[in-house]
Amino acid sequence: MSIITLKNVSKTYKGLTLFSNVDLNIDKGKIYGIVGPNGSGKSVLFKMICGFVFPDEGNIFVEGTEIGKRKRFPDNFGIIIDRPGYIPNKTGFQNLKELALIKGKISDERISEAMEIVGLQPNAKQKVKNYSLGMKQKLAIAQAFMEDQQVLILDEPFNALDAGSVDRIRRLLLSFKDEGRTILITSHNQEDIRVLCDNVYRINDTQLEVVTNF
Amino acid sequence: MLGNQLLVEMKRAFTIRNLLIWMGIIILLPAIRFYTIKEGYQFFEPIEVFQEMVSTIIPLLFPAIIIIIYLPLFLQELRNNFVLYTRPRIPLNTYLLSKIIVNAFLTGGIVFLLIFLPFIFVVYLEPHLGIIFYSPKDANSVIPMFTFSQLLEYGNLAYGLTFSLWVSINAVIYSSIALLLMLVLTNPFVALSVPFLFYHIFNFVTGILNAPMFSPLSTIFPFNIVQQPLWTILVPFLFLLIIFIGLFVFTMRKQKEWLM
Repeated sequence: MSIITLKNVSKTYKGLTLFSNVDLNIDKGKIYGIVGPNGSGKSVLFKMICGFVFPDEGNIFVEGTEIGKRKRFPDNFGIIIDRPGYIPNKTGFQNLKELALIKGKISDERISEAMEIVGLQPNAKQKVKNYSLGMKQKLAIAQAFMEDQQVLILDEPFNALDAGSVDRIRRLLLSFKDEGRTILITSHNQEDIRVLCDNVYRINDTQLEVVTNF
Repeated sequence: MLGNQLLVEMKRAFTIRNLLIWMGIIILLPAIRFYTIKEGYQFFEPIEVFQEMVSTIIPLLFPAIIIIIYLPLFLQELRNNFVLYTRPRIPLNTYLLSKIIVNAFLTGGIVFLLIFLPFIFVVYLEPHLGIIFYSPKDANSVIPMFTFSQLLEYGNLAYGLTFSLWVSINAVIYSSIALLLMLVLTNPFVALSVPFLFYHIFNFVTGILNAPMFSPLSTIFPFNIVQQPLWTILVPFLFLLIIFIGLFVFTMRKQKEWLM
């Protein structure tokens, strides 16, 4: 069953034609890899799926509802796009708490649990401005799943992570897949794609091509 | 959704650091000014002390005060990509509207208190404390009249409330302009400096044109020129309002490019 569908999507972004009449079906409960060179449009594709930017032509449906018409942005999406986002003068826990307050549906314990899952200490007094890049990345991963989001859109989630953390996050993503969550990731590391993904698409010359050997 | 987000924003704004900054603005600035004028000046009435208290330092710092009340929090969010991660949780319009409302509420409220609390202190409390020496009035005594002094005929409180409200409305518009500019300009520091530049350049230009009665400084804090008709304060205010409305419309039309 398709949870995300792109139909004849075309997009020009900041003067560059990134997609021409692209179709894509994302099934629930699988991990999809999107690969392509820098500037090929991976982040823009993710932003379109999240409803942050709209296609010039074509339609995007999430769970059967068109994004941008009846629904401005999809519910239940966890994202990492471009780079981690944070408030530098607050601790990691406070940052997640600020995001959680918006929907107000999870407890402090759940926030702490999410931090521990990615390998951060929820009680640490260290402010995020003093975090390493890898710690900021872990914080971004924690916010993406802490509210039990069922679709994870993760742009380069393994950036700046050490080998141990990469292994931990890979196992985490595979466990999410086993729970029936749907994941879209990009990675410049072929190994991440090979280990995690059920299906892989390459952005090539404004098209999405299926990659069979990865 | 907006109601909940307003509560969240208010909670987020009330940090110890912010409370200290706000207390500094509300108490420290007038206190410093009061300390410097309590001796060496000749006063006949408490209202003169109030007018002297809210001149000089506060008018000079006004455009800086109004942007440090709430906007640094938003600046941090913008510079560090935090807003992007709110977007799967709340529509961007709602999130930004909550920012605009909370900024207006806090800036307006704190600036109101910045003017009104010194007024209460000087007019109603200080005469019982006897810190200021009031000279006895005689036939040669001259009590200066400024714009807004017209309202004194309705009572001191009416004057204090109206003047405090006037300054706070101006503060809200100046800081809202800065907030909107933060959405459309790529460099948020430029956006934050625009109210400061507008305020001081407009003062300079009206000075050159020999029309100080229309300068922002002399219409928001009219204690450096002789009394003017009340309508004169509306001239720069309407100009400011037109800028604000124009910027609001422009910002709404550029909505697709926000934070991209």
